[in-house]
Amino acid sequence: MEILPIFEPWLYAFRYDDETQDEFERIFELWSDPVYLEDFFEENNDNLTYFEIDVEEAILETRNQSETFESELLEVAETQDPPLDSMFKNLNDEETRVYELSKQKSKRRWLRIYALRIDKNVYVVTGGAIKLTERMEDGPDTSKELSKLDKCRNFLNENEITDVDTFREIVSKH
Amino acid sequence: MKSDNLKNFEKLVSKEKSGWKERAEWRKENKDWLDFTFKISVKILREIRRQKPVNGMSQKKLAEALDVKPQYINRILSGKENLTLKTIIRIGNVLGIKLLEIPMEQETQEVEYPTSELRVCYKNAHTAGKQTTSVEQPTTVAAEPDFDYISNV
Repeated sequence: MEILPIFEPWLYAFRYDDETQDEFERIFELWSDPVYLEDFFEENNDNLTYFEIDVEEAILETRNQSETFESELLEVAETQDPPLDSMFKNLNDEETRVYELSKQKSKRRWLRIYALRIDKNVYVVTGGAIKLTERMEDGPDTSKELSKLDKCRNFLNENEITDVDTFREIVSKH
Repeated sequence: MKSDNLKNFEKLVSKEKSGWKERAEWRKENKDWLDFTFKISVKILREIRRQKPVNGMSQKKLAEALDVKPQYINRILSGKENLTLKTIIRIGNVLGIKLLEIPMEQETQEVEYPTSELRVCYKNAHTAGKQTTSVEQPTTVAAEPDFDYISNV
């Protein structure tokens, strides 16, 4: 897999071996694709009950949210010092400390962009999904995103980019 | 000063750029017609799904009925084809649904154009530094026969 710059030196994204687009480009294409969205919400119709919305409304809502999200990101891309630390939050809502290679999310309604934090205001996107279930493990797409986060973190670890826990391990060994 | 993590990370970054920014800017520039074709695509997709168990409607059948290639239907349904009125009406006729409706009761809106962008305007609609015209020009022209067209093309 490869890492492509989205807007340097702040935001990057993984491109997996079986994909022609990096994850950031791919998710925004998907969120503006009526065929994908119609299939997705039809398959996940049961999860829409909670949102009190039907399939057609959910498709249009996703498109609107995606447009606004993308528009904001375009503006952020043009700024000198993009405030990415305020756009991304810890994946686990209960976790308060932020550390290198921590799993992160940026969200807008049910849209999620998943990333790993590399440094202050520097992130690498690992994927994204429409999250309709409370727990990521409960949705097939979001569950896959959890695996991707782990896979990417391992890849970075193998390339000498360490997370806090690894650092602690090294310190304790010495 | 850069951390070791950041230095090591930067070594992994490809020289190839993501295509996102270019695509996002294109979507933003073409927002109006993309929003419109998106809604039409959704309507068509929902109708095909609804009719499928009733009369076996599918994208392939729709292509056959319109005498076009299935790839063309794919492009339409992906929401990225700038559709002609003729195509929209033909698809609507095959599916038996209305895909276009003109809001005749809508009130006329005043639209302002910067002078440099104005192609055709009304001679006596000049105001300080800008010119105005209206969306429903034919109606206005009929009511104001003295108006004279100026073209700066």
